[in-house]
Amino acid sequence: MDITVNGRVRQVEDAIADSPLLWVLRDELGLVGTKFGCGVGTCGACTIHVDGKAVRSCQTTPEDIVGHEVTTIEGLADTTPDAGLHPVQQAWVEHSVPQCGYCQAGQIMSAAALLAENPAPSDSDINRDMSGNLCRCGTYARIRSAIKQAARNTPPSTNQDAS
Amino acid sequence: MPNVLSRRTFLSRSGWTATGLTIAATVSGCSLVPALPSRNELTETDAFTWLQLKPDGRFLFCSPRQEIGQGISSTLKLVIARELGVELEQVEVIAPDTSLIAQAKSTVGSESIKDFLEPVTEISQIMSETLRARAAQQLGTTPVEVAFTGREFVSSNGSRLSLSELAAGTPILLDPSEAPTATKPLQPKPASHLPSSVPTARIADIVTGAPLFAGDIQLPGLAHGAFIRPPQLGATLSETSFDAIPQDQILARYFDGERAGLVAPTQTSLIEALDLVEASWTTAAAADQDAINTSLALVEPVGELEHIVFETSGRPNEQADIDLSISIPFAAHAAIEPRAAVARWNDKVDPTLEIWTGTQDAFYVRSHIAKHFGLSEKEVIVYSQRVGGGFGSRTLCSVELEAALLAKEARRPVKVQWSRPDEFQEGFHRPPSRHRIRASANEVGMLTDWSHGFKSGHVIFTSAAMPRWMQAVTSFASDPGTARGAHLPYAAHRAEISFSDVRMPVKTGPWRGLGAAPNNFSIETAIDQLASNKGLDPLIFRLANLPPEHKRLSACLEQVAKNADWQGRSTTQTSARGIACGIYKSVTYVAVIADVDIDQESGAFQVTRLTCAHDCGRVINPDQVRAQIEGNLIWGLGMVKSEELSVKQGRLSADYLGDYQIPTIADAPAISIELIEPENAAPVGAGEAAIVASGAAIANAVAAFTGQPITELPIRLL
Ligand code: FES
Ligand code: FES
Repeated sequence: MDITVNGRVRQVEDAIADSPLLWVLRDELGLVGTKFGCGVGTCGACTIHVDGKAVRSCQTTPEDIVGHEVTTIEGLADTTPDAGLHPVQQAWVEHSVPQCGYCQAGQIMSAAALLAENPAPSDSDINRDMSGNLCRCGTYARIRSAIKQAARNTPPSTNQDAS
Repeated sequence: MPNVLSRRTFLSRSGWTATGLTIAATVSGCSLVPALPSRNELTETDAFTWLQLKPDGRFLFCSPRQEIGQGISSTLKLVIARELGVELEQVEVIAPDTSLIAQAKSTVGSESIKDFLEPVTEISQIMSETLRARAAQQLGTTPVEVAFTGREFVSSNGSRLSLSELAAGTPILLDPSEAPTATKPLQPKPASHLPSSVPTARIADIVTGAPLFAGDIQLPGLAHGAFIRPPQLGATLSETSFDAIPQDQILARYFDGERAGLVAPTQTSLIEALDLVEASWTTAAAADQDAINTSLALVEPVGELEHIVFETSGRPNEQADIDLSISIPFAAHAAIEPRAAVARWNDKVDPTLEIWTGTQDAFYVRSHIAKHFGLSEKEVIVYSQRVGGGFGSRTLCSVELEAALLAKEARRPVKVQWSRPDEFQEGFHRPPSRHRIRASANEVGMLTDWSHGFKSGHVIFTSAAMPRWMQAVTSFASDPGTARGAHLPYAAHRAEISFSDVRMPVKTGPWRGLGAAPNNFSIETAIDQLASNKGLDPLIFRLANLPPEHKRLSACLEQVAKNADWQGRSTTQTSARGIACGIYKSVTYVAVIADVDIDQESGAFQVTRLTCAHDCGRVINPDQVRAQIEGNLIWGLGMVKSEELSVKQGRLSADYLGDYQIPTIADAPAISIELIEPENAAPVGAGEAAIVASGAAIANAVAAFTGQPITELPIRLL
């Protein structure tokens, strides 16, 4: 079976067509940036994009995404026309958001999807879209400011992640 | 009448001051003694192995402190670059494997800056002087005639020697016997070429998803393993059958009479295979929350509890203005990274066994595993990976041993990735505690009597860390982790603080701040209540009762009051404010004001702002210190708002994060922090301080609103 991940067509065995995409990405495709935190959709660490929308990869399977575009944290920067980091990644560095860093790939993917849909999110938009992404280190205040900065820095044309 | 020693007298006479160190030293040499967490003090010689000049002219720092998200790698990097007079990019910081540096003590207790700043500063200065002396020799001149540009040495006649030329193909390490002694006072050098704050190490890798954590390790032939878990705490395995699993789905099975595990080619096939294992279990008396509650009940007078933290010669009056009983539940670390480890056995010796793991104590993992397999420590190497949230949870050895056992059986490298239920059921937790505080103040608002008795499960001498016989021995000792933060910062005429440790049927252990978070929560709840009882402003009451030796705490209170524009509890129909403060490990001072919105009807509340003043002495890397404080404030919020674990039907009550609620972004308030740096104050820890005040400040705001003190966590208003 063919799936498209970060702009590349990748083959996965039919036998794992209904396995969690999280483990397929990590163990079969070597894309370990997408993290395991719970396996049941309650932490957000495994967030990826499917056609630009935030999706929990532990709750998705390869067969669900055939014919769709998957972007992982490793491919996020390539979804912007400019070289270098995606504006959300850039804002994350500027605000020095990560502490342990484990949740941050999921946070960034959720934030990028939020901004693609809503270029100027309010606090309550952020709360609604991001509260499924847990951070035990408590980096939330910085996540909020980094999202707002990324919103300011994102020219409208780059807001179409993986489209 | 025979001269019977009471347990207390026995303890003090036998010198069991009850630190981990004392116990370890007392019983060392006995082969039954398990490996204990690394607490050894540093020697100067150890420090010499940390820093070297590499042949390419860059410096390598093998950090003795594990990066667990506290930003220590980048902070020490800043210090080294400053002392050496080089750019940040010229210093590479690695988490060394256990073969590279001498055993370092575990990364716990927010000690990295307090204990390591000085030796790191010193070795950097010695390195700098040694290199200058060598360069001078090669340039045919004296050290004073040599200038250093950050990349090369230049003699007064203009001849030049770069760092890589100096190294001439071999790394330069310091030799303790030859090195000059650093004579300069350890003051920061002006370093205008360096930024004033540096972000956490490898931030670019974090935001792009590069492999950093133990679970990210890929090795040729790597398989995936797991152990079968008991359905209830303390259940023992009586029979296991793997027969239902298709043969091609399983690479190895493990059974040692007590536990069973299996190894599968992929994580997904492993999860499927685990479902097919048939196991029968014998449950002894199942753990039970009611029994735990009973064991914690404070039935005896405070004066008869086992361990005295503090007492004045005059005993506090039994008749008190306030009498509070406070109940604090088990709490989980709930790091977002569930524990993971990879193990590989090699045919060759040295190393026989390699382990990749994220741990706060790689040396403890090494000795624990070496001991288990009868290997020498040299035969085991532990490669430290970044830790996806420590908070005290990564201080013991668990998943690492599991990976080693399964890898041996499977004869190939094995990764064990704990599931979320494993984290809750197999990990260890903050013990529950019960506190009774009676206190009085006189008519002018001075604290006269303070009596605080508490019972808690163990923090350091925990069943998670030691075999049964050792638990029995240590049951006599007072657990320093339980006692942490129980001292009263305020002056009272008569005071008595004592506690008993209670053995829990649940694994307990260090949680951020150890006993300080629950103990100071209780203290600050009672102080606030006493102020209310006397009709006094809680800020003024605190300031009036803090003795001069805690003027740094008073300064934090005054600053936070100013920054938050404190005008009292300011209770409205929908909101209130609360204040609290504390001293962590006698060195870090913190005060917090919480603004809380409350919906009377639903009982829901939202913390809208936390204002914090924090004094951890001189600050080396302000942005990372702020990050630590932000995290602490949120931990305090979670502790009072939603976090709770109990025993239900013989298991911990949570298997997934939905069953144990940590704060989300929707809970997170606006935060403002002021760092206070008194002149000449030594730099100390910031990783566990603010948690002691933030929870109480929030609870005190809620109490101001309802008129009732919060005596049970988490807060439930309806
Ligand atoms: S691992 Fe997918 S939501 Fe937690
Ligand atoms: S940065 Fe550690 S969990 Fe979010």
